[in-house]
Amino acid sequence: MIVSIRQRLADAAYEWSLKRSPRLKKLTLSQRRIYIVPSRSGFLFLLLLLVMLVLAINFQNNLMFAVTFLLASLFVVTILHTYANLSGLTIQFLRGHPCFAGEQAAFDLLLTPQGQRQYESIQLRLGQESGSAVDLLDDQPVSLTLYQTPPRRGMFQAGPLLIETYYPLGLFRAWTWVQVDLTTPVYPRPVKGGQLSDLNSVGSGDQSSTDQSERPGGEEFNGLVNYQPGMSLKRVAWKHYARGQGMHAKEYVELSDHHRWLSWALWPELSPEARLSRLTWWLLQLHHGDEAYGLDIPGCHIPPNRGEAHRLKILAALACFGLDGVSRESDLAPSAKPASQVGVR
Amino acid sequence: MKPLFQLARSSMIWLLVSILMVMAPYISIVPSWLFVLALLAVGWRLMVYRGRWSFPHWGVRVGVMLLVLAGLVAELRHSSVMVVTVGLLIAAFVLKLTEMYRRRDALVILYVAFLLIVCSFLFYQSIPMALYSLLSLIVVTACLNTVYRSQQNNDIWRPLKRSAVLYMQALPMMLILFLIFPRIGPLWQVDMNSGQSFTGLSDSMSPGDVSRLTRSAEIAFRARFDDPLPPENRRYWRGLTYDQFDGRAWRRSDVLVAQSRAAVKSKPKPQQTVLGDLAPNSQTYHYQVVMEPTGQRWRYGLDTPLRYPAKFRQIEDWTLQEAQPLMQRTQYSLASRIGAVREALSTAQIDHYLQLPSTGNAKARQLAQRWVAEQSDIKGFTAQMMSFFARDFRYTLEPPLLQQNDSIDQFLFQSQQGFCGHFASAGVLLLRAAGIPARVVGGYLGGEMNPVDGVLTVRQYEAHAWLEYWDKEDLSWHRLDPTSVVAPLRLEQSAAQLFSNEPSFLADSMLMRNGFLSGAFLKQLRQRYEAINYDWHRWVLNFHERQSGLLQRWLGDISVVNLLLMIMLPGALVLSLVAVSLLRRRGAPKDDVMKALAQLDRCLGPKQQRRPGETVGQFFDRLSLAFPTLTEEFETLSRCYEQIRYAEDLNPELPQQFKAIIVRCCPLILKASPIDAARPAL
Repeated sequence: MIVSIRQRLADAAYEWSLKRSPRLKKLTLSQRRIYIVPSRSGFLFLLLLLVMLVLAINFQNNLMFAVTFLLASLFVVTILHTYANLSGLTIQFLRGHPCFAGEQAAFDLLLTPQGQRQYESIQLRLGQESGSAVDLLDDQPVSLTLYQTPPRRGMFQAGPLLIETYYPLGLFRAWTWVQVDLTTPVYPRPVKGGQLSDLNSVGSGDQSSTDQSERPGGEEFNGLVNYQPGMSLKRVAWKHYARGQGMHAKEYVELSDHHRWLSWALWPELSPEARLSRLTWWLLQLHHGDEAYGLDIPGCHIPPNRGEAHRLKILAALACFGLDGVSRESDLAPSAKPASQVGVR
Repeated sequence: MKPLFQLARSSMIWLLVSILMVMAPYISIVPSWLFVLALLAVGWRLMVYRGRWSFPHWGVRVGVMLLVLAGLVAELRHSSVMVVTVGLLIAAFVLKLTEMYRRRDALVILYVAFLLIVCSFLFYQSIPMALYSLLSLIVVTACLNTVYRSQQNNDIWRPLKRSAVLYMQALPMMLILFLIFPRIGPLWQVDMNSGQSFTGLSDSMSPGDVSRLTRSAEIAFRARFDDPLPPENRRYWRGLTYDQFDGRAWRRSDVLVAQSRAAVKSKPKPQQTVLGDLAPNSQTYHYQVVMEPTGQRWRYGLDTPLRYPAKFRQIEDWTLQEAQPLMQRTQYSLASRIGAVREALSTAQIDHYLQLPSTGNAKARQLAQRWVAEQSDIKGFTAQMMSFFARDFRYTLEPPLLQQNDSIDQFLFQSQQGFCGHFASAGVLLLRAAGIPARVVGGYLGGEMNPVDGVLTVRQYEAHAWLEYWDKEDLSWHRLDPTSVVAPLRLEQSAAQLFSNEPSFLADSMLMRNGFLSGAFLKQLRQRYEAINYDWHRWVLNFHERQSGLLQRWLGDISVVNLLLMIMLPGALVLSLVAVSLLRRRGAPKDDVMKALAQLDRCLGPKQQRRPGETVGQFFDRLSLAFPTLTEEFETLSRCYEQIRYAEDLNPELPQQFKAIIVRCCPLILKASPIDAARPAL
């Protein structure tokens, strides 16, 4: 029963803590936000003090009294130290790194100490993930990356951030839950399968409108350009150079209508999510190839192109297909609440 | 197991140090095999730490645990429960060491370490021990700190500093609690016997017993007098009386023992018992005694105690008794008189104090009879006895051994050498043989005055035995000390001076004997230390005896509200100070250049000072426009700054120069009115 009461108290504290925390890009911890209660070992310590007190009373031993009171004062002083180990700490939420569904999304944070104060053994974690501990000893900001597993594809908002510390003696736990203002796209999980070879034959209405065009990076020689530092040495026109005509680089272009479409209509037998997964896998394959590719799914049409930016654009489109909201950790299992945080585990 | 909860390697070192520190005071208390076990466990753990060995198999651990339990149960036969309990704690403590992987395991060890530190005060309470315990606490807390810090932080001394700071901040609160927390009586009766053995008087006295005590320089008790001290030759401290002689040793008779048993069970009587009339010339002395534990029920008092604490009982022979054996140092106040005491004895009592074995020591009895025939009254008899002792006898700490039977005859007529015990027992035998009621009194004579605090310290080697006889003419008990005529110096000098040539004197405390502590300077040092020690006993170890008086003086009346206020107010003050020191906003230290720039900002005022995001170069450019008269200076400053910050080999004078220019500019800036850069210059 005690466990359930403790659980309920922890849940209530969690809810209340979140309600009081607006979503911010940057916040400084203060007494309005930091909660502190004795940890499980703190209660054990109090029990120990009680035993000592009974010993002291029964043996009428004043030195025993002295040590008991010294440890009791230590207990009280520790409240301040544990609290000071969080207060004044500034947390900035920098960025989220996209990931594929089923992987862990990474979020970058920056912790800045207040003035010259030192912070030790601060544990941070997002939602229910395992966290990491950080020290801020030489009044320099420390950046760290926390991970969280998104429940599904789509835009994912990082779950509440738990910042807690037991420092210095583990007698108290100071903690706070903070709403995190960081979102990142979660791409569909790539699943291998199907064939793309007959893709081009699939009548794509836009094929005619996409004329033969020149794209850099193809195989057709287009001419020479002035060499710029950083260009590949393989492309240097050494013959011209040897003739003393200066350093030039050969430029190739792609003269082709070889572009492929990642189309919704490819695998009609699959469910939408499975189609998205397969499209994602083929997207990754195509990205390594030489051909241009475009996306054609209901509500989204991206003309063929190449390059990293193009890839990310398509991935984002795949991620958000059919979703308009932002997913949160709590979407995974609405009833899953943080386990009781009190005490040493 | 999450790495977060694994024990850091640096905490392992601290843990081993803590364990050794906490166990050290117990070396002479718990059985030595436990220590061997502890060292083995620590060694094993060290090997695990270095990666050489692995943790012992669980079967081994269980086996060792059972063996230890069996050993401790066996120990129970000849040790006190307290020792075995502590032994159990230590065993749990070191065995846990061999199965320690995680944070929680370390916590168990550290919490037991706290408990063991507290328990060590059952056995030792000296100042050095208290300081040592404080040190142990700091180390154990440092170890607790390492358990909770992150793995990457391996600075080995940092936890110690942190722990010391914590204790410094906790100390004021502790003092407040110590002073204010009400001391209540024991919640239940505990076995105070911690297995220690005591030196001191015992309840039987054979002639050699007292000389055994002179081997020890241990303190028996200390006394502080309110008024002047009694003269040195009147400092007879009554311990107990022996009224029954069995031919060999003097004992307390069953009557006396029964009486003291009944007395301690009786209801408290008014503190002042009605004694017989005291001799008119006697003076009353008021004094406090701090008595060392004896393991016995009697308490020492000067000659005839008159007033004594309510928990004490006084029995027929005016000795003081308490219900419990004295297992811990105690403190009490007494008032005593010195001199003869008037008391009417019943016939039964007179018979009781005339008791002698039916046979034995025939020559002594004859001698007594002869003196009775020669002398007309008791005064004459005692005078003759004393002159007999004064004439032929020698006082020594190492008298020849006496045979079992007729030992007093042998002492009186053959060896004629002895110690106070011999003289007292021979004297009482002679008096009783002459029909004069008498008894042997055991106690101490003398005491060393400490000039630093005026406290009289009485040591074991000042143990003494004398006799009392009852004079039927004035119905009074009189003290008689044969030693005073055999060795008059014993009354004038301290025992230390008198016995310094005797080889057996202080044989057990060579440090005192060899004059190591008797040189003038060292003696002073020792006296100072003893004065501190006395205050330690009075104010710390016996604080519970003084607390109520102290609080009454501070608070007027002691109420719960008052006590709580006394704890809360100073406590809050101390804690706020700690909080301020912890939470104070501390800016990064500025170097000279930054300080100079800040100074410039101050004299520029809010409109012109450096704006957020403005580089120093831009700042000076803007200033050159705003203050055309100072353009040259600002350009120099700008150049200077760049060199200070970016030049590879910095001219060490540059920062000073930078500062000097700013100092020179400031008054000029204050005089000049800036041209608004936004306005086109005219």
